[in-house]
Amino acid sequence: MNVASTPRMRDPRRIDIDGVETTYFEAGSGETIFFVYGGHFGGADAGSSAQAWDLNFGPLSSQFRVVALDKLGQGRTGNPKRDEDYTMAAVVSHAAGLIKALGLRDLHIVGHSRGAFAATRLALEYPELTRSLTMVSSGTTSPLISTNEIRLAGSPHPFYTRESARFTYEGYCHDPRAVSEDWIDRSMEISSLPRVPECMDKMYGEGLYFRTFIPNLARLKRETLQWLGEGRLQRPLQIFWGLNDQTADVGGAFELHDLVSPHQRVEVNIFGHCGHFPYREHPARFNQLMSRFVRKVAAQAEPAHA
Amino acid sequence: MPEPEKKIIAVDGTETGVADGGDAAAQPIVFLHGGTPGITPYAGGTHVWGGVPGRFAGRHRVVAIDLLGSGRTGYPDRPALIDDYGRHALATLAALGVEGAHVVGHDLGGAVAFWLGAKGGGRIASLTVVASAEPTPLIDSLEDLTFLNPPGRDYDYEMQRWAYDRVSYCDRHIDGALMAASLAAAAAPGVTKARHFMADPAALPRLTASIGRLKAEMWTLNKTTGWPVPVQYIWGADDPLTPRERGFKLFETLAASQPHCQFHLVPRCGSFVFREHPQHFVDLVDAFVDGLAETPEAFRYP
Repeated sequence: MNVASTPRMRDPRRIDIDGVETTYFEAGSGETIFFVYGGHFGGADAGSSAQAWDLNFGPLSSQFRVVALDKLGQGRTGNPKRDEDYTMAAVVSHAAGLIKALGLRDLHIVGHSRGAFAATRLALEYPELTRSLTMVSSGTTSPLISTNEIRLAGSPHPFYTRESARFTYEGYCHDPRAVSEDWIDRSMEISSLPRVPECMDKMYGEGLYFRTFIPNLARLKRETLQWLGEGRLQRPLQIFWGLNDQTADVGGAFELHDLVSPHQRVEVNIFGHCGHFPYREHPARFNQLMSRFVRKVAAQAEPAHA
Repeated sequence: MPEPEKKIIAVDGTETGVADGGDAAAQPIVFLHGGTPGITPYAGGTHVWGGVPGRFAGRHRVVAIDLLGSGRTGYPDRPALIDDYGRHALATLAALGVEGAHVVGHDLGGAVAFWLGAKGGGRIASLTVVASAEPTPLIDSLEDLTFLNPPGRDYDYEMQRWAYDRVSYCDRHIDGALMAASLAAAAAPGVTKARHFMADPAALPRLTASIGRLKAEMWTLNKTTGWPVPVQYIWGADDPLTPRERGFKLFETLAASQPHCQFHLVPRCGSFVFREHPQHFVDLVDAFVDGLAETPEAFRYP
């Protein structure tokens, strides 16, 4: 599973999900890993997309079927059709729509940051589609306070420039060397799409961010933490976190562990010298742990995998 | 691939029990068991690893060492300090021609692993430290009552079984093979000698002080040239002997100067992670060793 020598994510595929032109990537065969990256429509990382996983997608595709989507209103997927769909709930429904349209099941769902919240909702709302859940660095899911806006404040660069993208990702990562030119290139490709200013105008111009998105997320988060504490997550959980994450404190890993572990096995993996992107900052060790977790859970479901 | 073969070799005049096997030409993995001879109410040795070392025999050379005063290894003519344990382990590796090893240490074996990391030079590629209280920085932690009142006497079945159970989440791993080997170890000459010397109330504080000096050296390296080798920390989520906060603080401390380190919590698990969840344990060691090998130059953060 060599990170450097594997091909990058190519061949985006297109599918209509409830009237929204949706982009996803798919490769490999076997147990299915479904990736949900972080961020939300608009925001400092407007350039985020499924290609955030490009250091993991290729290496893991040698053993598994890997699927990654561009979420509703992000990447190369269209914006929400209606104002009331500028919500996390709509993002989750859209992802579930893709999963069903592709006929995927027994998923190992992997989510990062805000995407880990969406992944957790998928696992809770669609247990019949879920075989395991992996949360990566998710202040949104943890009971602690996220500090993105503090860490990423004060960019001296205009929006949607290479410099501002680099400022953002260096703010997230522990070591600026993890922020490759390649990563910035792909971020710029996304943030230059005509869909992005439309989305930003809805969120911040028309005010849907504070009127719709944040209240919906707050309500869902309350419900999600309550559900996790009640033991409604009934699939193996794995948590990754970076020790030096300045936007989502590593204590969140233990908070989530303590919330779920009375009911369900929870494995915790924390990387040193690591900020908010463990799967990009330490890809080889992330991929190794990910593949062994999937194989182990699969063996529990079907002994033939053992 | 050959299963690790148990044998006794002479290391600087000390009879030393080792298990050696696997692919002799491949990168070695070295196992250092836990238990403080004469103090901990079970008799440790290579036997506590059960079938785990053999699981690596297909892809690695596998070496497990009986530390001083454990298993079939002898003991000095005075209470051993951590430097004695470390020097003996290093000399054993040299005698076996082991270079560039990934070292796995449990409990006191974790402190020996850090000693090797600090002083072993090129013989050490990485450390995996399992449920090891000794090298953690929390000197003002609470008095540990885990082994306060052992039942039975003289390392008999009752005492040792009780000790294993005390530090486990579930007692299912305490099988006949573990108990038979632990009873045999308790009667071995080195173990008997260790019990004799450690019966002196002044002996344990001296060992503790020597570990304190080792830690001072670890923290100094951390502040100067940096902790020299990658380390992963594997903790049972339900370990009564070494709470996760202690392992996490150690991880956090050395992570300041060592970019390749990771901390793991294993669910439904006590101190003997490799016995209670052998598959998970083997996965973590394999993932770390293979992940380090696969890390591209751009992600090495020298």
